[in-house]
Amino acid sequence: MLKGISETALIAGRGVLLLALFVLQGCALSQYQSTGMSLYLDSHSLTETLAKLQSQSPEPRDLPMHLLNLGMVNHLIGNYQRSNQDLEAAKRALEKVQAISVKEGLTSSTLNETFNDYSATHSEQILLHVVKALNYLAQNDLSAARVEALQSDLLIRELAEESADLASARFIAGLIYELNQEWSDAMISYRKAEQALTRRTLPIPAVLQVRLVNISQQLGLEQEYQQYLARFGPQTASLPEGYAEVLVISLNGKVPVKQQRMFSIYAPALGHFVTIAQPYYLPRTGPLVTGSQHAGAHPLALGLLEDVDGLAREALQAGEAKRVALSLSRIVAKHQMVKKARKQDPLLGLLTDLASVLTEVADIRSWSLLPAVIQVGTLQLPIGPDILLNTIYPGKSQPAQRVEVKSGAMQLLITNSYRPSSQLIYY
Amino acid sequence: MKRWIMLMVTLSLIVGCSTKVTRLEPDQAMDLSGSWNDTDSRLVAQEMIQDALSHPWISQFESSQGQSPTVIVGTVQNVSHEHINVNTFVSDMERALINSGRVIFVASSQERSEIRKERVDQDLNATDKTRSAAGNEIGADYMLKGQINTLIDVASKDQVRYYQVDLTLISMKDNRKVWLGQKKIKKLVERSKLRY
Repeated sequence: MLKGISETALIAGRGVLLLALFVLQGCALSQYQSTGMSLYLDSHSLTETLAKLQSQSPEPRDLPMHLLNLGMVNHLIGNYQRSNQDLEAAKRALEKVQAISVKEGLTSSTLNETFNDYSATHSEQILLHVVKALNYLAQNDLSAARVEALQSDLLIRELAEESADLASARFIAGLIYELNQEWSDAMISYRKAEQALTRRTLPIPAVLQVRLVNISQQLGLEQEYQQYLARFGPQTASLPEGYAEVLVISLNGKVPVKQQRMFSIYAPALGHFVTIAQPYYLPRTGPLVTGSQHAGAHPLALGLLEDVDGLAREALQAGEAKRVALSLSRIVAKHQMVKKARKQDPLLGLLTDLASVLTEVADIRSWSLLPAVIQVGTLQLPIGPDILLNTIYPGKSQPAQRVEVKSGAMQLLITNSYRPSSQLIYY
Repeated sequence: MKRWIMLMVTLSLIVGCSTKVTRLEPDQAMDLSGSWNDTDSRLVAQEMIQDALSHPWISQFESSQGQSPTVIVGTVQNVSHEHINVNTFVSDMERALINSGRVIFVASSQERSEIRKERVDQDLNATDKTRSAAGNEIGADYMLKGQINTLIDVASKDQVRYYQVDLTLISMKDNRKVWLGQKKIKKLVERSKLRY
């Protein structure tokens, strides 16, 4: 039997296998860099995660994802300037890959989708501006934060999808306009934030309710004011004497990691194995929003502004039809290859069949270090010097910090569950 | 023969992948992304300052005061969709103003505080002959303030970017606005829908 196998077929077979192994190695590395960093952060500190990310040299196709993760870790650590440099680089890299690629169309319909440039989901593209805006706000650069608010609005218009309108992007934009005392633009943004939350059947956070009621009244939008009043009730200031309000923006948890689900069955009609690999998320097991409702001794009313975890699942769901269509086209392409190889030589056919199974890999890349939720709330603190102990995230290290609570100024606390901050930003 | 073809293909690929640097003249217009760039900054500053200097406020001041007006550049606010380095635009305007020779130009508030610090240092450490005394600064007669604004119309991958730069010259004495300048730039940015 072996004698009948031509030397050419063996060489070609080895070539096919080598190619498959090469493909697999590339995919495995790429997938590791996506999901691996998320898992790494579970058992390491932010500084160690940053060092690990910095030591990696991603493939050019994975560079945007790498930069997004770098930007996120730098934000969580508090390296806001560095974070914005990484996110700006990610944005530019993503802009380059938004056009449809002829080469990628070919590889994703014949090999798999992991060879495509990482292009980020629509919500990831908008969240990039949200994180950048928070970075600028944390650096007291309101003018640059305003640019990010405008850019996220532009991107939402460009994407022209209702699902791409994110409450977090709209709320942060509203806040920026509010800080700039551009009340009309603030009202428009807060209104859009409310609409985005309502569309996703999420409750409206108290912080947003107050703004909708008060600014619509301030601008004389009588009909709208009455509607908000009927829906949310009167929003009178209930600040105790000698206290000031701090607006808390909290990035809590981490988005789920994509997994690969693989089916490989023998198709008698085709005479070989058919393999389909698809990405999926493990179902949610517990409540999404965690964290206590106080910071030290001070009560804190945190509300959900963005279910980023849900957005990731929504994006995966939205791309399902396309992924299934590509899987089917790969089955056809690989079947043709196996058929052709078999005609040439049965062993070559077997090796090609094996290679076609090995090269079927799901694309599980994502911006895996995004928070699971973005929350907003208010903290009432006594005016003057105070020691602020951030206890929003139980079990996390909470540096107690001496703060100066000012009256009459807007004060922000941008914090996250990985490295809780107690540093107030004054406007 | 086949080897030669392979070698040629490999070489052409290497050449294609290597970094290429082309030196350009600083005033050469080069639009890559469609964003606000050095050419926009320079041309807008030049044209607006020329416009400002061609209006009657300057001759009226000269005839009433018998000297050239003193101007200071105040804040130019970026309220556009882009992270524009306003400093380069401000320095382009300062250059156009100084080079015109028609106005006296004084240092900005940031520059002044540095100079004042130096003067305090001179008071302590410099000799009497070389020391510059405090209280001899020239006060500005006019302040130039402005805003860079954008309107962007979007359809799919294409954008029409409309930049509007508004400058105002305000009299320091009585808050009168003596000149209002406006410069508009419109760009159509067509992004490729296909790539290799």
